[in-house]
Amino acid sequence: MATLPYQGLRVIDFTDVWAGPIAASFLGDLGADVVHVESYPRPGILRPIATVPGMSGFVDDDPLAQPTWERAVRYYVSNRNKRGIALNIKEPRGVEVLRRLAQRADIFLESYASGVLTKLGFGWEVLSQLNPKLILISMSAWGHGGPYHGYRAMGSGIDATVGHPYLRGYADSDVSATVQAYQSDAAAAATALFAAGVALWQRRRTGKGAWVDIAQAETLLAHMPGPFLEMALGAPLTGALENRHPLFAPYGCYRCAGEDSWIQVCVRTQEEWLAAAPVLDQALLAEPRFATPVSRLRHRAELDAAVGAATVLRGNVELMEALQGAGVPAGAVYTNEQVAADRQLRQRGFLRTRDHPVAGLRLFPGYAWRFDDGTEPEFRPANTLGEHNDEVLRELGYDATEIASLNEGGVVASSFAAAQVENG
Amino acid sequence: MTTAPAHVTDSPGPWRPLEGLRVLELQSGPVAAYAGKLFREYGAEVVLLEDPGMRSEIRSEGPFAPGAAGINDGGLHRYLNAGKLGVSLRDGHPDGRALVRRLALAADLFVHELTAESAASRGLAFAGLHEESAALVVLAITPFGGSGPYAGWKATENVLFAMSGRMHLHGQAGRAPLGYAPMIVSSQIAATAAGAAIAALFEASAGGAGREVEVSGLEAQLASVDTLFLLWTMAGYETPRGFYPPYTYPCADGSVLLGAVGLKYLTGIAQFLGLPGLPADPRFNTPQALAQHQEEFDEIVIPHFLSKTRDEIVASLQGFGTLCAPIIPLEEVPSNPQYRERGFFRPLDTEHPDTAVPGPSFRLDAGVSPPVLPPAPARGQDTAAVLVRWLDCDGSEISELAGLGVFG
Repeated sequence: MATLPYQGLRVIDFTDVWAGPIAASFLGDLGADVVHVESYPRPGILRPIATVPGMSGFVDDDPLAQPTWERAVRYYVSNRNKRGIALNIKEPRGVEVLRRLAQRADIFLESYASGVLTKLGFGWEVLSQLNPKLILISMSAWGHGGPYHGYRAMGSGIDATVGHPYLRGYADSDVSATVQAYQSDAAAAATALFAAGVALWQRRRTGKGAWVDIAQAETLLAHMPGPFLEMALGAPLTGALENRHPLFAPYGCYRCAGEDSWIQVCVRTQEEWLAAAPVLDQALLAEPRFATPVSRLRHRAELDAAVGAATVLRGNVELMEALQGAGVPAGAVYTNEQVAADRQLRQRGFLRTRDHPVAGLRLFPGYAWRFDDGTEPEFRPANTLGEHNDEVLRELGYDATEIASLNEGGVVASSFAAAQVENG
Repeated sequence: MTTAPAHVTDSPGPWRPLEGLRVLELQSGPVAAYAGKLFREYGAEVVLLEDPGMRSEIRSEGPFAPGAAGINDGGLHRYLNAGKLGVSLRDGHPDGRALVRRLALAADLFVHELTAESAASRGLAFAGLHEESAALVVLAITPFGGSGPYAGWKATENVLFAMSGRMHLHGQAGRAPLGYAPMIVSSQIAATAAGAAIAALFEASAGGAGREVEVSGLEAQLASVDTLFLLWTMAGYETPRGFYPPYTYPCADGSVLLGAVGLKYLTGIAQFLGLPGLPADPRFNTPQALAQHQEEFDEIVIPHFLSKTRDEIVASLQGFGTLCAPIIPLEEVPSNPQYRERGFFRPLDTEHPDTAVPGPSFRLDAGVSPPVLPPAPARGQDTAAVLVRWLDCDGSEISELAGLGVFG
C-alpha cells in the first residue's frame, strides 16, 4: 500500500467526546498511529454504562443488549482509525504506561479543562522533560489563562460564550429559545488538525516540541467574524439572518411537499433569478415587484410567500435537481435518509458499508479529503474498550507476565462490568 | 531528514513557523481565502491571485464602514486577506494564463476552487503541474468534489449545510430549519482542507512527492462531528429538530446555559440550591423523568437563579462539577474578560489599530502576542514584486507584460 503523509507518526489521543477524538481520527486518517487512551474505571462520556433509549443499540437487534458501553453509537462518530487502550491512571502502574507512551509519541492530544492534565501529573513541564520533541496539543474549552480557564464545557456551553446563539435563532424569538449547538467541536477539531501540521513543521526546523494551546471558543470565534467586523467598522449589527442574505432575494429556506421537507434556495444575481423563476413559477417573471434585485429586496416578504407557494408543490430533491440544472444554487434540507440516498455521495464512493466487531455491517461516512493517487488508510472502525491493550503494552516493553498483572490489577481493562461508577 | 524548500530557513521567529513557505491562492470564494489566511497567520508567504475580469465575492461582501464601499474596504476581505500579497493577472490573456501556471509551479502549495475539468482547461491539472514540480502540493476545494454528477453545481454555505443533514436538526420543531452564522461552514471546510494540505507539505518537505488534496465541502462536513448520521444508520434514530433543548435560565444580570443534565449534574445543582433531596426526587432523577417534569424543575430553579449574577452562578455550578456557561450577548464578546485577558481579539490590520476582531485560532508560542498583519492587498498591488521574487522576471519583461495588458 502507498504511504500516507503522517505514516510513522505516533499520536496519543487523551481526549473524550467529540472535538479531541475527531481531531485524533483525522490524524489517523492521514496515516498516524493513534492510540486512544480511554479512562478506566470511570468511563468516558460516550461509553454509557446504562442504556440510553434512542441513543444506544442498533436498529436491528435488542436495544437492551449488553454491553452498553460498546453500543453507544456516538462513540463511533469520532473514533475511526485508531487503536484503543483503557487505562487507570490513578494507579501508579497506569501512570507508568502513559509515561512510556509519551516518551515515544510525536503528538499528545488532550481536551480536558485547563489544569486537569497538570493535576494528573502530565503537564507541559513534565511531558517536555519526558520527551523534548513531543508536541502537546491542548484543546480546552476556553484555553489556558483567563477567568474561565478551569471551567468545563460541552460544545453548547462554548457556543453560549461566543455570541453564536444570537446569530442562529429565529428573528422573532428570544435567545433563550435558541436550541443548543455543538459546532465548536467541529471547528476545534479542524483547527487541531492544522495546528498539528504547523507544530510538526516547526519541530522539523527547530528540533524541539511545542505546546499548542487551542481554546475551542476561540476557534469558533475565528470562524464567525461577521458581527465583530461590523462592530469594528462601525456598521450596523445584522443579527440573526434566519437563512436569508441581507443583499439578495429570494434567499432562504422554503417548505416543500411532504412532511417537514424543505429546500434552501440562494439567488444571488439577476442571471440566477431569471433561471430560477421559470423553474419555480413562470408567473414570477411577469411580476414587476420582483423584476430587479432591488425591488425583490424591497418586496422580500411577498417574494418569499410567492416562492414558498411554488416550492410547497414540489419534492425537495426533485426541485433541487431542477434548480441546480438551471444553474441556481439550491440544496434540499436533507434528512439522514436523503443523505444516504444522495447520488453524488454514492457515485463518489463517499458512503461505504464497513464492518465492526460489535455493530456489524453499517453505512459509514468516508474521509474529509482524498488524494490524487487514491491512497487512504485501511479503515479501522472505532475500537472496543481496551481492544488493543495487549499489543500496545507489548510495544511499550511489557512482557506477558507484566501484561497479565496489569489486567488482573485493573490497570488496564476491556470491560466496565466491575466498575461501579458514573459517566462523566 | 529535512529537505524543505531552499527558501525555508531553520530559524522561524515567533508566530512564523511557516516562514518561507510559498502559498498561491487562486481565489474565488471564502473557503480558499480562509485556508490561505491560516497559512498566512503562521508565517507563510501567501499570494492572493485575482483575475481583474472576475467579480470578487469576498471584496463585495462587506461589512463596510459608513461611507466606504470600495473593493478594498470590505470587512470580510480585510479579515480573510490581511497580510497576503496581491497579484492580478488576466486569465483571458495567453501570457496571463501562462504566468498563473508559472506561479503555481513556483509555489509550495497551490490552493484553488476549480473543478477538475476547469483546472485542466486552464492548464492547471495536477498531473501536468506535478510533472514539472514534483514536490508541489495542490489543494483543490469545491462544494461537492471535482467529480460526480454535482461537480458543476453551485453552492452557498447554507446549501452545503442543508445537504449535510445538519440543518434539518437545527431549529425548533414545527418551524423552518436554520443555518449557523455566516462563514462557519466555509471556515470549517477550509480548516479541514488546510490540515490535510499541511500534512501533504510535511510529507513533501521530507522528500516525498507532492500530492493533490481534493476536498468536497459536503464531504468534509459529513466526515466530521455534529452530524448524527451514524445515529440513524446504526441505531435507526432520526434525531428530531430541536432535539437539543435550550436549557437556558434567566438570572439577575442575563442568562446562563446548563450544558448537560443527568444525575451527576443534578447533584451539583442540588448543592448550589441547598436542596440535598433533589437528586433523589423521582421527578428529576433521570433525563426522561426530568423532561416530563421540566416545568416543575424550572419553578424550583429559576427563583434561585434570578437572585444571583451570571458569573456567580457559573462559578458556583462549575465548582460543584455541573456544566454551566454564561450566555454572553454578542456585543459584549470582544470585551469579555476571558477573551480580553488572553488577548484573543486583535486589530483587524495595521491600518485599523483600534479595532478588535478574532485573532489566530491557536497559539504555538505561549506568552508572545501574534503580530498585527498588514492590510489586505489592493487588487494586484504586488504583481511586479511577486513576479520578480518568485519567477525571476526582470524589469523589461514586466514592462512588456504590463504593456500587453496582462496585469489588472
